[in-house]
Amino acid sequence: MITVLCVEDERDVRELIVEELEEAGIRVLQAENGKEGLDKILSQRPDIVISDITMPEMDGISMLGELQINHPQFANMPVLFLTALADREKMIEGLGAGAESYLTKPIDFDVLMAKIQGLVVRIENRVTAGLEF
Amino acid sequence: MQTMTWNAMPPWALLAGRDILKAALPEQRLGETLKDILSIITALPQLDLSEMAAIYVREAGQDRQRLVHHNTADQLDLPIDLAPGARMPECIADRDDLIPYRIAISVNGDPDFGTAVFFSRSERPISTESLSALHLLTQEIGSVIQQRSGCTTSVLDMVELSTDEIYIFEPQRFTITRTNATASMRSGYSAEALAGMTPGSLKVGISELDYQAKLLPLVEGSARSVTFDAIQRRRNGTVYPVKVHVWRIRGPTSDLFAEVAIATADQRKALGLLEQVFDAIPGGIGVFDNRSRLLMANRRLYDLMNIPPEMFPPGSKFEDILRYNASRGEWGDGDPEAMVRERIQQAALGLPYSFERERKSGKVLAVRSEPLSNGGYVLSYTDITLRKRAEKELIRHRDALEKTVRQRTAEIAAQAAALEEALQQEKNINAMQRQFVAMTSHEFRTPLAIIDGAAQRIQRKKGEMEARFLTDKTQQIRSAVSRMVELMESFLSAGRMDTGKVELSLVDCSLHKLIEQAIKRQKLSAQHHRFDAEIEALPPVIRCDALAISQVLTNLLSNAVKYAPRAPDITIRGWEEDGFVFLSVKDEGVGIDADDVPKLFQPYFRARTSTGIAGTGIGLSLVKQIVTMHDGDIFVESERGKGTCFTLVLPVQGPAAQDTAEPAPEVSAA
Repeated sequence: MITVLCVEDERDVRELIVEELEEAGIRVLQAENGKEGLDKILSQRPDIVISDITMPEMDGISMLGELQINHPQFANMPVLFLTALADREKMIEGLGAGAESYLTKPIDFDVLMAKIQGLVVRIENRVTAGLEF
Repeated sequence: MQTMTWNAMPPWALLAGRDILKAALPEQRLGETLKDILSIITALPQLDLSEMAAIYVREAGQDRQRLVHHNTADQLDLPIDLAPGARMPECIADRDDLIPYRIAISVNGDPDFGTAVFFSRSERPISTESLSALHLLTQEIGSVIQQRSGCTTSVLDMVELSTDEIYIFEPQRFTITRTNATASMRSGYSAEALAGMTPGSLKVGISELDYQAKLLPLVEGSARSVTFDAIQRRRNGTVYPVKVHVWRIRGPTSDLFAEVAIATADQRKALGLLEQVFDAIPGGIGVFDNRSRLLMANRRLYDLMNIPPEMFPPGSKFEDILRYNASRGEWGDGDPEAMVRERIQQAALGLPYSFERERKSGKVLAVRSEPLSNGGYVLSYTDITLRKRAEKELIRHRDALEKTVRQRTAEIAAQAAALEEALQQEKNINAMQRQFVAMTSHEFRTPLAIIDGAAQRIQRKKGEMEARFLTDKTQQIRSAVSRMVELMESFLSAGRMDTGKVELSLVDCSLHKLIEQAIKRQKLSAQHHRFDAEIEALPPVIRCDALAISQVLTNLLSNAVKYAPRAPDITIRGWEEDGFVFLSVKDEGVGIDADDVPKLFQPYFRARTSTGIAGTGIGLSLVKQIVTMHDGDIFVESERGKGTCFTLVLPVQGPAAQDTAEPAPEVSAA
């Protein structure tokens, strides 16, 4: 089964995402900020990460940067940003940091779920092909 | 003997004497002429004199008398020194074979002007008549001497002041031993430089030997003087024609030669021209010799120095002119003699100098002295009164202009500074605005995301919903909506504060109650935080706007919760001091960087430690404004990572100037 980590400081937003994913039969891990998210990634090795950007203690982009630099074994793990920062500069910064996607709030759950489903297929194919990452 | 008439004199002798004397005047060679006259007089058979006669005049300012001239005394082997300049000896001829006759020369009522001494052979004393004739001749000689040279000038002075060049040299090697000022001035050599040279070396066109050959008659004694034309050379290489007279004269120990170089008519014309040029010069010019005697001056010099020309003719001493000026206060107060000495010393240095002097009349003179190679100097006076006045005017004008420029520059600098400040403010406002737009968008998008997310979730359930799920989603939506309303309210309050439209509605109220209510409200959304309030020391009532102070408390408490997500303890302390209430709210959260603290109360400012924590940057600026309106203040103590403590200070009696305010402020106490 695919595991998704949801990193989001807003409790209500996190709850909505978690519900939607779980209903789709996905195992969901939760983290309240980038620091906690990083710990969960290293300890639980999720398949996909959905992360907010603006969070206390460590923001989403810093978390991704930390992974890229110090934990190259997670280079192929897709990280989706889901943020209220809708400006173009931030989007460029996020994608430049290595994000799989840059989605903005309010959340369009159809788009989010389509994206997740697509990634799930890709990951399962890869596993079938014996390409572990 | 005073009754003697001219008839008693041999008429030819008298005529000859007078003619010779008159002839001597323009030639300006008095000494030699006197010698000639004395020779003629002693040779007159009617007078029965020996070949010896001498004339003395009184020395300047002295009782002594100085020899002016004598005739061939050497042949008589007199035991007295009779070189020109010698003093009259007490015993002029203590000899048995000679009888001296001393005849006083009285001129213009001066009975002591001088003495003439004649000698006769003792075996033939002269007659009374002859003596009377001698008297007359003597007085004639006296008046000529006085006319020619001034009443006290000795022969040396006459030589010195002669306007012809005079070179006295010894007959063996023709080395010059003495010269006069005119010699120095015309030749360009100083007296010191001329001493040791030969007169021949100052000639052009004839060699030293040629010159010596011309003087052969003098050397041999076959003539008393020789005359020839020559070309005189100046130190600077220019030449001028002269008529040269060389005389054999008696020196203190042996005979000497005296060359008198007389400028020819051309030269005199040139001199005349020079005088005209001098007079045409607008400034005053005076030429002084190496003994500081005036040689030549133009009319303007007298005008500018304001001295009478008849008082200081050529020959006057510079010192006397200075003394005259000093004594009439031209140079201000002070010891005239000291001032004269100072100026004489300066002149004696032989260096060029110049200074400006304002005369008592207000006239400004530029005085300048240029040394001449012969030791003399040229003094020039220029009237610079007008120039000075113009200069002063110009300086005044320039100063005024500079002042204006300085003023304008200062004004421009001030304007530039103001502009720079305005620009910086504009930049700050722009930066703040960008920050505000980004923040607003983020802060609104988050509750919107919740509302929209909840709605989507309901939609996707397609009617198969449990009651709990629905309640859950509805709660999320309402909470998000109230969050947005709160956000909007805070923007609106800030806007109202900015436009100054808010007025306080002061009432006596219990701060305890307001604090407790605020804590209660906060507990609803912050279940994990503990609020420890010690507020018993607060006064029972204070005068304030209850709604506004409620908002202040809410903001401080919600900040404490928001910025201390991992530190649940929040401490509230209240006390009273000197008519003020103090209320501190302390958390142990993220803290604030020291350099962020001063900006903390600026609208829309968010400290670096607030990154990732929702907020608008409005709350604290609102708090500050409300507190200020209450004549209170707020202080912050904070350290990054350690927590923050805000201390509120409010007057118990409320703000001083604020009485009662009618409209209640629409500040939210959410």
